[in-house]
Amino acid sequence: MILRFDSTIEDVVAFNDYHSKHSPKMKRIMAGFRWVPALLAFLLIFTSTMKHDYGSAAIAGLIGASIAAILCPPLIRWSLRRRIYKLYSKGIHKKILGEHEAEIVEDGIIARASYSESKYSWGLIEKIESTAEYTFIYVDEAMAYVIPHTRIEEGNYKAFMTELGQHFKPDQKLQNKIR
Amino acid sequence: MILRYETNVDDALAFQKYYYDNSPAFKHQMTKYIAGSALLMYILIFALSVRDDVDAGIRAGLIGAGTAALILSPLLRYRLKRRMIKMCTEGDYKRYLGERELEIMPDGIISRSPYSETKLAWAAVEKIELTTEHTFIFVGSRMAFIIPHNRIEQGDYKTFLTELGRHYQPDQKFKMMSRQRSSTD
Repeated sequence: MILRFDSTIEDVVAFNDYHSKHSPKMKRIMAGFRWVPALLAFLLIFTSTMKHDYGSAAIAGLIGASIAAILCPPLIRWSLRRRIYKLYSKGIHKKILGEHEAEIVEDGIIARASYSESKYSWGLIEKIESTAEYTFIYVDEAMAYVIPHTRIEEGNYKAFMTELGQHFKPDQKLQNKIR
Repeated sequence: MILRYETNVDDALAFQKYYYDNSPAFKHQMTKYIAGSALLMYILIFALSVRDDVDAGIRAGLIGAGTAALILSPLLRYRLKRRMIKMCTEGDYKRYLGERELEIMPDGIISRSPYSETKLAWAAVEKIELTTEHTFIFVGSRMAFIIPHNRIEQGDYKTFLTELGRHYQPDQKFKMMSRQRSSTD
């Protein structure tokens, strides 16, 4: 069972967005990006305005902290997206994008591209998550093989997913080598 | 030409250290992070201590900023090292550590573990760097096949390295294997 599709930078960004919103570890990190700047903003505003009136300094600090808490997470996401665009627009990472092919075989899944061919045993696949536009086949805690639903050029996605579900064996190692 | 060896947490840490010491991108990121934190510390301490004496505020701010700049770099590296150890010992890191096999083919290099196998065209090999204890075959800016010299179980390291240098072809791609198969059917 083979699926062919075209992979673009948008897919990498989509996975990054999905992972940062759904992974418990990333959620904790993003919470840190919200509350640490908020606390710093509060301290900074409070200490610089408390000369005359503690009450109004606290209110000003709280307003500043709220603004920081609201603005920081989207700012961090924007910065991460920018970094991805920069990273994947040149060099070795650019070569990951383009024509892709996913094939289900008895002992795992084979991912082919112009510069690489990887075979992941079923035991390596942690989980499979889907959104309306993407399927993320996690091959590591923070790494996934991304299938963009709208850019499938060949193969039947539904049949592919059914077969994927049938073959999934969490403890299986590889049996046949790539040649 | 095949090389078999075993990788462990020490190899992952050695690669992490090598990357931190040599990557311009990481150094740039660290400089920005440390400068930002030092500036923030300066502003915070200055704002806290400026009420009575501006000069004392500046001095305290500078001391705070200097301390932050000095402490942050080793602190951050320590935290990243701890995170790597935690990831390797507690996490499901079977893709990266344990039994490994590297094979040189005419069109690329294959890395094998009991759980995964990756074949990369020579063009996907970014660079090859050596230390006395490890060889790092970079296949991304932050990813490498790590060969620990003293844990090679099978194959000759020197011959492997010579062969690696001979085969390296920066522009070579693969043809999609299934397409190759269907065109020959």
